[in-house]
Amino acid sequence: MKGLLGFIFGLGLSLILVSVLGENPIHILQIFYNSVFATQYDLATTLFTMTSLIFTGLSVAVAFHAGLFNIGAEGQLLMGSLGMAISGLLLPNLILPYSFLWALVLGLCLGGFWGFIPGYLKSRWGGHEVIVTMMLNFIAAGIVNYFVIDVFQNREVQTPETIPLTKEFLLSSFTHGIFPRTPVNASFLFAVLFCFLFYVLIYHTRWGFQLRSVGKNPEASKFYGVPYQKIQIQAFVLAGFLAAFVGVNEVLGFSGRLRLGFSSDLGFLGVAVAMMASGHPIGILASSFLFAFLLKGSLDLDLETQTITKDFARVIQALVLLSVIGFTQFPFKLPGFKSGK
Amino acid sequence: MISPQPGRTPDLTYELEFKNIHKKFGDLWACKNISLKIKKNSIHALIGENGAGKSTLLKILFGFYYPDQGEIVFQQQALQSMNPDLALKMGLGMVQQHFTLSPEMSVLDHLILTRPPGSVFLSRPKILNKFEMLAGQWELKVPFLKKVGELSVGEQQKVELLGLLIQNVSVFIFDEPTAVLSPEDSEIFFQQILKLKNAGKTIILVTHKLKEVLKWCDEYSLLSQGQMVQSGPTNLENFDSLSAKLLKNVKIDRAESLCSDLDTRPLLTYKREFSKSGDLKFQIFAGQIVGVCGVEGNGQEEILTDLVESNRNMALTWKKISIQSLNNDQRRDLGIGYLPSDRLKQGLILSADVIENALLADDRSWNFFSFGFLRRKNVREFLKKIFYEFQIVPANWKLPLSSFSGGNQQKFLVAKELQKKIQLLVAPHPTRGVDLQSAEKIHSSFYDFKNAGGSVLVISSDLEELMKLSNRILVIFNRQIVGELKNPDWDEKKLGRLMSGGVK
Amino acid sequence: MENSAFLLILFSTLRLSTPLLLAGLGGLICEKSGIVQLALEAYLLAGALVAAIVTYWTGHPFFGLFAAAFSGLLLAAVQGFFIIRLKSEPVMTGIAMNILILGLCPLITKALFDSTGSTPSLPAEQILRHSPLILAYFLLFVFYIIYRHTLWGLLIQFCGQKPEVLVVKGFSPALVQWASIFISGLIASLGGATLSISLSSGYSPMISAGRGYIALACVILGNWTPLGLLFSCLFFGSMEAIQIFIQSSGWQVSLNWIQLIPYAVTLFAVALRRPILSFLPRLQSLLTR
Repeated sequence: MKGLLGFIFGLGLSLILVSVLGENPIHILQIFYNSVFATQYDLATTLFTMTSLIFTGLSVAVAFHAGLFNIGAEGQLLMGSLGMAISGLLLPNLILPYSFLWALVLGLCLGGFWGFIPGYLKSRWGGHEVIVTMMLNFIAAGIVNYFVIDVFQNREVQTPETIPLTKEFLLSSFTHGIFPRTPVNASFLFAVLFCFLFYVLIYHTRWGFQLRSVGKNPEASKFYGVPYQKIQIQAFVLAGFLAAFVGVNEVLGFSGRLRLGFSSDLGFLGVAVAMMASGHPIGILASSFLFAFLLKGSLDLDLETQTITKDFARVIQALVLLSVIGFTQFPFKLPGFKSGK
Repeated sequence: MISPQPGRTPDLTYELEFKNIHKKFGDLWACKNISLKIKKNSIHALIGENGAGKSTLLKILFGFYYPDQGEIVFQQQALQSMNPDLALKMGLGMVQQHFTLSPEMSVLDHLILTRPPGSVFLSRPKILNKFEMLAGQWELKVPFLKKVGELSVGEQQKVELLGLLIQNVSVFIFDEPTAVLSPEDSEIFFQQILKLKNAGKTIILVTHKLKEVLKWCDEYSLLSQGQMVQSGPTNLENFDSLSAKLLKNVKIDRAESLCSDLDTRPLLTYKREFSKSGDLKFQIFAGQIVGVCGVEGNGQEEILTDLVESNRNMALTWKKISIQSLNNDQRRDLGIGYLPSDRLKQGLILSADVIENALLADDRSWNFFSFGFLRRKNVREFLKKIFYEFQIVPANWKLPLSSFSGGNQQKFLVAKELQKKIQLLVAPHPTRGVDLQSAEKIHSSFYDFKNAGGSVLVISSDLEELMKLSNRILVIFNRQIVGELKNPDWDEKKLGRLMSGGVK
Repeated sequence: MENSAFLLILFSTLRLSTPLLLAGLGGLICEKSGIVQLALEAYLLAGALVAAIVTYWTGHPFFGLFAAAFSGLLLAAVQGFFIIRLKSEPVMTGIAMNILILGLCPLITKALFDSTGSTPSLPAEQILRHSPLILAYFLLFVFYIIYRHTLWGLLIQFCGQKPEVLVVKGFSPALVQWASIFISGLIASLGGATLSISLSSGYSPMISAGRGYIALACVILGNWTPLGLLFSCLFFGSMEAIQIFIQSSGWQVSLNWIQLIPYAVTLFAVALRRPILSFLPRLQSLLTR
């Protein structure tokens, strides 16, 4: 609940800032509202973003419960998306359902691997996962850059993106999309389903309990025989998988290709989403919608006003994020960077 | 060596007086009309079970709480609006049970913080000199340049004491000072206290060790359930009625088993070579309670670690099978149960409720999970059962474990282990920081377990507890078993001597 | 040829490691007093931008330095408010601040100079040559003295290890932390100023590119000691120097991969910190406290 207050406060702060720049705050609020609810297309686009935020939010939340900071959702989703985008280019002659499965597997493996690295380094070598994942974000961006621009660039267009996948690889081969001719696709249903699945997993299963006990008291977990190193790695790999699902939404469900820059800040916003919901998967349904609303609204502000640009949108997001942080007491006791540890 | 002289106080004026102190927290009376007088230049014992009101009273003294009614008179002056800094300036100092010391910083650093020099730059040699002289005045020897974490508990206590002396404290309050000290260190401690008394200081000891009260203290005050029960000079007549009053409401069933070795083959054997001078080895048989006593740091930690985790450098057998390379899970499957040595850090998830804590190291037979899914009902039934057996009464099941008293926490942990099908319970400091009633319940549960054929390995530095519980006591010193005594061949003196390295 | 290349890389290392050293020192002071400092990127960016703007306006780089320091104090006030007063989660606060400043900078350059993210180029006379380097080493030295030989240093040490001791002795951990965060912010933003008015001739969007995180990595790698920080910064500075040397010497290696070197090295260094330290006991004894 405090998270919601923080969100509203941050939004209010942004409105004040915006009106200082000369815009009418009521007008701004109207744009925000319309950005989501005006047309079916708007709603669909919001849900599309919400889907990705659910995946990154869950990714971060799973790690939080294990006492780990996953700032690397950005890199993990990039690697996952990369895997899915080039799967069709590596094996173009596969047919349904193997094609789709191949794309899924390749993407999940890459994303999972990107999660495995910090998980392994943290549990076996004590490497600080914040720095490791941050670095992996940069490295993933570099790798994706290389593959998109130098290897698989679609020569027929100006924008930096890969050659599109054939129909067999896309989600729409299975479904016709909820709202036709919009970005939102069946991944949205997956995302919502995942929220419930993960709720059950984290709070009602033995593994989920072990996960949480590792996060709350690793020493006691160790004493009572919970394999806390294994669990830390499993949590991070799972986080990598979840973030990689953004690729299903973006690549397999919507564009059929990897467009450079599609994901700006989805990883960090995933952290905001997870924090606002205090790591609770059902809460993430709500917070992901709110942040999708924020994202869509601020992008529309860029389009519809002179004063507000994409960078300003980022500022608004950061303000809301800071407000949420200021209002919420972090419920997870994460090991600090104590000197000498 | 100075010998104690009970009951002799040269100055009749009262240094500190609590007058009709009332303090309520919600519906709960922490202090109900407590009046207490402490004579100047005396050693006064404050006795009472957990929750009796002692700590609340002291918190009021130092200004952490305000009393609802009543007042405190210190050196014939009524105290107004107290706070901890002011208390210290006025000469009131307290050494807590858990010291406020930073393990990575040196003793000297702590003392510099206590009395910072006026200059900008710290000239450590000069400061060291100054403090050494001060310490010398009180005949306190403290390794100034060592890190606090490297000191023994007794030495750490000296650091705290020196810190107070540096600030010209006149009333010293110690909270359970000998709880974790060996008999030798306790003796040293009390000698130090006597020196303070003879120099004109007033000392208040919060303790539950009646023998020490009788031997060293001039007067006592007994608190129970927020009220003052009894107070007066310490002598033998008062002593017996004191014990009775402290242990009321406890039913103890001490049926001893007749023979201590039900089986001549050992249940567990342990052997490890730490140094060339000899092995550390012992055996445990079925149906007995074995106590390991010693000053902390003589090998107990190593034994515990070896019993809990796998380690190829030792020989551990269970019913004649080698188990040293088995991990904790596997050992638990064999029938060995473990109590944590630090229940707050290792045993409990303080932020979680009792249901989640019950899930830690559950036994498959309890059916807490089926097909990986949690069955809350089964957990609740289980908890109801052990709460009843162990008289654990938490206010609210949804509260986190941090709100449980130390006694309830420990009883919960003991009950959990004993419910499993185990034949040996490894129990380090089973009643440390536990109130007397709960401690009695834990001890009697150990007896019942033993009488049913189980064994308990108690590792503790509390001699009273070990002598009460054990069939055999092993004394550990310098990573070797230097003595093994059977009931009733032991006494405090013998054990104390062995613990400090003397030969039997 | 070989000799001059080596010297070139050496001097380059010293210059390039300066912003890391300043930012790292800021991070070190914070961490020592118990605050996890992840906003170094924000301080670097803010310091760089403000220094470039004020230098451009006034024509004197020293004004730029002062302004950068002031911006650092401002940011530190915000960060301190969240972490010390509200007791918010420090990692997230730091990252949120990074995002905030990352978004604010282009807005400011657009508003002031109508540009796509850079400030106008500064003429050579307004570029600082050696003063940042001297400043950095001087500050490091001063910190070392204060840390080891004054009461303030002791307060910082206790604050980071066990603040309860400070409370019992009548000091306020919050006050110590406030002081630390202000000093830290001031120094870190000077590091940012170095980036824009010493190593470059103005602010541009990718001027930091994650140096804030690398600076923190330097602190960790140096085992939270001033000497260790120095070595780590020099190491990373040398990586960068070598990278630039390779680029300018015309070797046929893709720019993309070269730019990833610092991140990869940071990754390995952070990951292998413990094994490295345990294998070199003498190193470990140098790098304690």
